[in-house]
Amino acid sequence: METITNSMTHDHRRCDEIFVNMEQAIIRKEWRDAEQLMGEFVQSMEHHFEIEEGKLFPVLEEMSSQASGPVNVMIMEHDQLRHLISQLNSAISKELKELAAELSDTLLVTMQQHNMKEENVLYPMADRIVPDLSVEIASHLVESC
Amino acid sequence: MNTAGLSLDQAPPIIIPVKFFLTASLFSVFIGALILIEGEEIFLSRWSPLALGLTHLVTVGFLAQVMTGAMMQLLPVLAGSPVPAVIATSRAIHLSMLTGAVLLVIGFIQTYHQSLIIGASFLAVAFLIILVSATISLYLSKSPLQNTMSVGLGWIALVPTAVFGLFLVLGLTGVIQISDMTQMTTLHLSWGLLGWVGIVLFSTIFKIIPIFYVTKEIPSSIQVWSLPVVFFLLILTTVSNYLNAGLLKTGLLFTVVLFLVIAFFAAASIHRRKRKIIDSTLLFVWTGIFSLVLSAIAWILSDNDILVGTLLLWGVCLTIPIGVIYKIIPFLCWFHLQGMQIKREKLTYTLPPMKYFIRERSAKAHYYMHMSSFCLLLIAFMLPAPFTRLAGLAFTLSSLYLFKNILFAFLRFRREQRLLCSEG
Repeated sequence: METITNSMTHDHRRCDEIFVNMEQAIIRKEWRDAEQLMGEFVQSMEHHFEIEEGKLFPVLEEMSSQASGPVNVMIMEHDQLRHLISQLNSAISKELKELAAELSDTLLVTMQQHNMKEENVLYPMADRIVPDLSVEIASHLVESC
Repeated sequence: MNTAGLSLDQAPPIIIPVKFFLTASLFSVFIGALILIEGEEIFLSRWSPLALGLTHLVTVGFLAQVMTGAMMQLLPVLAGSPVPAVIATSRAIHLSMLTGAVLLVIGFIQTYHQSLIIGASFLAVAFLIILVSATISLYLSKSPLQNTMSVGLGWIALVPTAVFGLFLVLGLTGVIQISDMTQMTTLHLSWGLLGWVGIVLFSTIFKIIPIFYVTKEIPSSIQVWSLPVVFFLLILTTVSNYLNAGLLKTGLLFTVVLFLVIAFFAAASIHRRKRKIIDSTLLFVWTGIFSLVLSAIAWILSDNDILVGTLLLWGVCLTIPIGVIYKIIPFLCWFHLQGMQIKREKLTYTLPPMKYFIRERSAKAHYYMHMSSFCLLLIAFMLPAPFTRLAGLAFTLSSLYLFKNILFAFLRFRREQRLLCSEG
């Protein structure tokens, strides 16, 4: 059986792949591709956030009082990632190469450090507290592929 | 349950790593100035007071400052636990390390015995505080051992480095008698360069490359186990050397070959990265890995100590850390502002991108300046005059540029911090 850590980490890598292709399109100034990949990236990220904010985090908070602090931090970081994504989206639509490249760099680092926290701390915690949720999460993730 | 790594308050104040990095860049300015003043004298012998002074300017001056500054910052991230009483601890480390390095280098260059002994003692105190505080931090973190084992062993390698170093200082100043100074020097520099510097630098590279360049995972046999094996080989080499002196070179040969394997995997991982950009950090790290391979080959094939030392000290020790600085500082500036933004619930406030703090063109300009000085120094092997002094001049300018880049990043951070705080 896939653990929550495995399936959510796998989904992070899937979003990374789309991100890397989008960044490449920005660097090559292939704006139509960049816009299309950005759309795909936003969709994947939102689907990932939805699973976390709509399913995983509420159950975690309900089952453990210790989880609410870390969960709040993760939700605030999601909002910040959303804000960065919307800034990048606007730079791509205005075809501003330097700004888009700098914002994509910032977004990547922010996303990676956020993912590291989830993969090293939050998901293993979820696997210990709510292991039964793993099947449901895996099936939600399959829907997005 | 360890949730400490998720807290926003884990990172020490940004001034702490910045202070260490600025001091390191000043040591780097002194290295250039000394080469500029002394010229071709630096190539006379690895045992000359000047060569010993320069080597220690690089190691306990530049490197120790950068590595400590980075550790103060990375430890909370890697282990999810801050360094205890971080402000007082870092102040004590910074002051004793700075005083120790200055006195030790003066002691070497001026052959001034008291300065050597006092300098070495200050450094021993600095290293002791680092080890105790890092141990407490790791003990409290309860982080999985494999996350921190390599970097921890790298810092533990400072113990034999410092102990052999202290014995050598006491031997040099005539306080004690040492039967074989050359052998003890080899052990001191092997633990220092292969143990402390090698293990800490590569464990840092293994951590940051996958995050910043989206690489495939480096095989865990290499990522988790190769650096502890280096540590183990160094213990074996040290012990076997005292049983049979002939085993010293064999032990070191195994360690150096293992480093070649580690360098190959690090380079392969960078080469196969999904994010195909080539930024300044990558250029510094690539150059460092390439110089490491060259210095290992030079050590295996020749007995030209000065060439091996130059490739290792200049090409690796003075190069890879700069690449790390250029990744860490913009990230830290942004990370601290992000923390304030979240704390003040100003999520729609627009922060500048990370690269605003150190522009990529400035970092790349520094890389080309750094490489010019490195190339001039390599040319100086064949034509010492006037190329040694030119290399010194180029390196002084390049180091001043590094100082300026770090300082400007900090000033930009302060301006953004004020703007964020004043925003209603």
